[in-house]
Amino acid sequence: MRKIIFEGGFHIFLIGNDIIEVKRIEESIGNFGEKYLLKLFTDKEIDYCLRFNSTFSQNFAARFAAKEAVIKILNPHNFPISFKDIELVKKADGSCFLKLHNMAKVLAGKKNIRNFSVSISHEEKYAVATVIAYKDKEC
Amino acid sequence: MEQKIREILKKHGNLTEDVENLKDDNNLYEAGLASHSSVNVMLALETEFNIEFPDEVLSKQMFASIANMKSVIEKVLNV
Repeated sequence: MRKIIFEGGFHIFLIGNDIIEVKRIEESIGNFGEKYLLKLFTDKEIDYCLRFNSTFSQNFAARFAAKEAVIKILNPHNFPISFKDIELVKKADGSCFLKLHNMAKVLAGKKNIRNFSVSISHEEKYAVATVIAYKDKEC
Repeated sequence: MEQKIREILKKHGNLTEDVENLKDDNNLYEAGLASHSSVNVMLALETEFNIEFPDEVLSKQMFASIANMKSVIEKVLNV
């Protein structure tokens, strides 16, 4: 996670990223099935990813990477955050945005984070995500 | 219970160190435990001990050591 403070100090950008091997997700789905999916992903995320018969693991992997990238920014330590509290939503135009719930939303508020931008990418072997958080001032 | 936790860590933890060489209070993240592997460990622990961890105990700290995991499992089991 990198912190960039521009001169003038009006905005602070926090950056988090993550990469994961798609096969890790496939193995977990194989080992734990639905329980694994329900622990990590919202119902909407599951519905979306399962539309893709041959690449659903890649889609889940990209979402996991996005959640991890957010967690790197929030840096929760002992603050309990469920992966399901961080939801990646796909818009009709193909772009994505992040929706935070419960403790993740609370922690983002405590850290004065106003908004997030997210970018995901995936292929056969790897999925990656980069997240930028926007803050108004240092807390 | 510690031995069951060690077996699960060996199978699902993808640690860079041999589990048998770790003490109960050694930091598992320093031993190579990654976030995604900690999810697998959590699910395997739930299956093994027939429990479900409530969200409020699922902090990074919970997976930081074998001793921490044991403590949380005992708490959930009301031991």
